[in-house]
Amino acid sequence: MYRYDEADQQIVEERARQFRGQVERRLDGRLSEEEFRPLRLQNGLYLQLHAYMLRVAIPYGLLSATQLRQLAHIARTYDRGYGHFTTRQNLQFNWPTLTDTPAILDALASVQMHAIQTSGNCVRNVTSDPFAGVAADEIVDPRPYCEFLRQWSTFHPEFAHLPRKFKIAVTGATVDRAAIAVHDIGLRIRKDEAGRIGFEYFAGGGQGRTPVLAEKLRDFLEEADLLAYTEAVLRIYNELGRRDNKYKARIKVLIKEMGSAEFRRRVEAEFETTRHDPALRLDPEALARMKAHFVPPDYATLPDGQTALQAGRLGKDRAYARWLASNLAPHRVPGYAIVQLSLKSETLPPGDVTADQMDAIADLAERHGFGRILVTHRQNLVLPDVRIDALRQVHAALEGLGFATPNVDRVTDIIACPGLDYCDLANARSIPVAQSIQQTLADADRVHDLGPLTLNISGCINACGHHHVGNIGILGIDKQGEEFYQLTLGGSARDDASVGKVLGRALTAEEIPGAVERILATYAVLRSGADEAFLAVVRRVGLGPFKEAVYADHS
Amino acid sequence: MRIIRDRRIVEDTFVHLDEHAPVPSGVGVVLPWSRWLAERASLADRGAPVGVRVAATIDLATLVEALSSLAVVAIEIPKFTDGRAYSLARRLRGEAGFSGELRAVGDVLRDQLLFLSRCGFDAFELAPGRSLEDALEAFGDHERHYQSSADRTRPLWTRPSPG
Amino acid sequence: MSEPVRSTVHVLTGQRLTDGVIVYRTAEGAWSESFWDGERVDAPTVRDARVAHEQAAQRLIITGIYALEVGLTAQGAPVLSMRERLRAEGASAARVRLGYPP
Ligand code: SF4
Repeated sequence: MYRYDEADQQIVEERARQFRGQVERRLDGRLSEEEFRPLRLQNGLYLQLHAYMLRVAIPYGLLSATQLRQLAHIARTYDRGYGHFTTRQNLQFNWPTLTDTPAILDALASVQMHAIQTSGNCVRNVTSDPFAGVAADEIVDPRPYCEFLRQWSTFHPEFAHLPRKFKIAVTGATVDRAAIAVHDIGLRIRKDEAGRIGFEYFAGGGQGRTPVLAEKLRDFLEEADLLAYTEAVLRIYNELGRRDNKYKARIKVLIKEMGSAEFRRRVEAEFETTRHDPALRLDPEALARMKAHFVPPDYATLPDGQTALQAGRLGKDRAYARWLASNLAPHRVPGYAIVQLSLKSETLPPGDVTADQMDAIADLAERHGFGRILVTHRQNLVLPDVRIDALRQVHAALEGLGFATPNVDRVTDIIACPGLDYCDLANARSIPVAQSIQQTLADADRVHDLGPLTLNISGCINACGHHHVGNIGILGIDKQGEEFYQLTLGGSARDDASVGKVLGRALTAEEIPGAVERILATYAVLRSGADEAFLAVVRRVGLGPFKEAVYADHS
Repeated sequence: MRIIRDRRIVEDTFVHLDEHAPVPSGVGVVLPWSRWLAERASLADRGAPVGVRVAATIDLATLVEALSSLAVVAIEIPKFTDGRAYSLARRLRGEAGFSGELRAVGDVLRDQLLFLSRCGFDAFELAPGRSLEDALEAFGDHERHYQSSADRTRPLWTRPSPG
Repeated sequence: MSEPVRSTVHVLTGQRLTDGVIVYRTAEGAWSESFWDGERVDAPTVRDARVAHEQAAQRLIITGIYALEVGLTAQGAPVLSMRERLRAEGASAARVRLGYPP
C-alpha cells in the first residue's frame, strides 16, 4: 500500500495542528458556528442528533493491520468502544467530543491516517473496487490512480468550496464493484489494443433526491492525462455549477441542464489548457514510482486449491459450505482466496465493529495474509489474501467473532445508513428496520436459496444507504413526525446499473418485514429456475405481481 | 484602511470609488467594473494606477482584454463558501498572464487566505472586524502541498523516491 | 397512534458546543440534559425573543438553539415527533436500543 514519507507525514501533522487552532478559535469566539461549520466538515466532523461524529478517511478502502489497531485504540480511548464502516469505505466514530478531536487527529496522523475532506463541499475520499489488487477479474490495479487522485485532491486550493460535495470512484476490473455509474466522476480503467492504459471517463452520476446514471465523457483518456482532465471537469463545475439551490448543486444537474454535449465541449476546451501543464501531466517516472507502492506481496507458490474448495462446498458441514459459496471471491493468485467478513448479523447494527473485534481482525489479517484489510461499499470487511488451505481455520475464527454469517450479497447482507438513531438529517430510523428484516429471515438455507439480492436502506432522501440502487430499496420518510418507509424494486449498482421504481404507498416499520417476505415469496414463485436472480425477475415481469403481493389484502 | 499584501499588513494605497464619487488625481483608484467600462477612455491617461472591482461571474474574455490597463483586479467574494473566485484567479494568473495585484474583497476570512493565495491572490481586504494579525498566521498552516496551483509549487508526486 | 393533540407549546433546546450533548432550557435559565426539566413556553413572541436572546448569549456554550414543538393531549401529556422523542430519550437510550451497553 501507499507509504507516507516525511512530506506526506508533514501534511497530516500540519492538518491536525491547524484543526486544533480552529477548535480553539471556535471556543474563544473568534470563529462563529457559521464560519466554523464548513471548516469542521472539511475535516469530517459533524454535529449529529446526539453527539459529534468524526468520519475517518480510508483511502479507497485499504487499511493496514496497524491502522485498524489504532482505530480500535481511538474507539476505546475517545469513543464508546466501537466504530461504523460506511458505504463510502470510511469509518465513523459516533461519540467523540469537539475538544478531543484534535487529539484523535494526532492519533490518526501517527499511523498515516486523517479525516481530510470526508465531508463538506469538496472532493471527497476516492472509492474503489474493494477487491483492488487481488481480484481475479482485474485488468489493471486501480489503486495507483486512486492515490494520484487522493494526492491531487487533498487540499486542492481551487476546489475547496465547490457548489456541493464531489465523489470519485474508480474500477479496474471486468465487473464493476465500485458503482461508478452513480458517482460525480466514475472511471473504468481499460487497456487499448496496443496494451496502453487509459480511462473510460464518466461524469454526472449520483444518488440523492434525483438519482442519475453518469454520462460518458471519454471512451479512452490516456493514463498520463488523468489529473489534467479531472482538473478541467472540476474547474467547469466550480465555475458553472448552481449555487442558488443546494438540491440542484451537484454536477449531475449542471450536466442535465447544460446538456452533456455542451458540458463535454467545455471540458475538452479547458483540457486543451490543462493538458499542457507539466504539473498535471503524469510522466512515466511518476507513474512508475506510484505503481511501485502497490506491487503484489510475496505470495507462495501453491496448488490452485480448487479441489479442496469443491469438496468443502459439497461437504457435510452446511455452515462452512454456505460460507464458501457466498463469502468467498476468486483471487488472482492460485491457492489464495478473497474472504469477505459479513458485518451483517442479528447482533450488531450493519457496519458496526467493536474495538476488540477490530483488534482480532487485525491479528487475523497478519496471520492469514499480509496485514491488509479492505472495506467494501456494502459495509463489509475483506481479508484479501487468505490461503485456501487455511480457510477452515479462518472460518472458525470468524465464527467466533460473529463475522461468518454466510450472507454476502444475499438479502440479509443489508446496507443501512445510520438513520434517525444517529443522523441529524434523517427522517426515519434505518437500523431497527434492518434488524427486524434480519430476524424474519433467520433461516440461512432460505437466504442462500434466494440467491444474490441486495437490500439497501436509507433514512432519508440523501441516500447514504444507496436505496435507489438496491434490488430492494427502502427509504425512510417523515409523515407528520412519524416514520414511514417507501419500497423500491429493480435498482442495481453494478454494470447494469439502474434506479429502482417505487412500489406503492409507504408502509410503517412494523409492516416492512412482512412486505419484504411477500416480495421474496413472489420472487420464489415467479423465477424460472434457481439461477434466475431476483433482479432478472423484476426486470422480466415488472412491478405488478409484487405490488399485488404487498398491497392486495391491505388497500 | 489596512490590508494584507504579499503576506504583510500594509496601508492600502488605493482609493475606492463607487459609481459616482469624483476621481481624485495623483492617486491609485479602484472602481466598479461597470464604471470603468463607461469611463475607460478618460481613465487611461490620468497618470496613476487604476483597478477594478468585479464579481467572480464576470465574462472572462472582456476582463482579459482590459487587463493590460489595470493595476488591480479586486474580486468580490459574496460568501466565503462561494469558490468561484478561486477559479477566476487561477485563470487570470494562468492563461491570461496577469501580474498586477489580485485582491480578494468581501467575505474574506482567515481560514481561506492560504488557498486564495495559492490560487493567485496576493492582496486581501478582510471582512469587517477581523484581526489582520490573526489572519497572517493562516499562511503558515501548511508548508507543503501535494499539487501545484498558481503558486507553481512542484507537485509532490514528482519528487524522486527517497532511496 | 397517540391521543389527539389539544394544544402546542415550545421548549428551547440545543447542543453543548464542547461535546454535542443535547440540552433543554429550564425556567431558571439554566440548561438541563433532561427534556422534562425544559420550560414550556406558550406565547410565540416570548418564544422567538428567547430563542434570539439565547442564541446570542450562549454563542460559546450551546449551539444550534431552536424551539422544539411539544403537542399536549387533553391530559397534558407531551406528544413529540419521532426525532424529538429520540432526542429526549437520550444518547444512552439510543445505544441500548442498538445493542450496546449504555
Ligand atoms: S441517508 Fe439520510 S439519514 Fe441516512 S445517513 Fe444519509 S443523511 Fe443520514
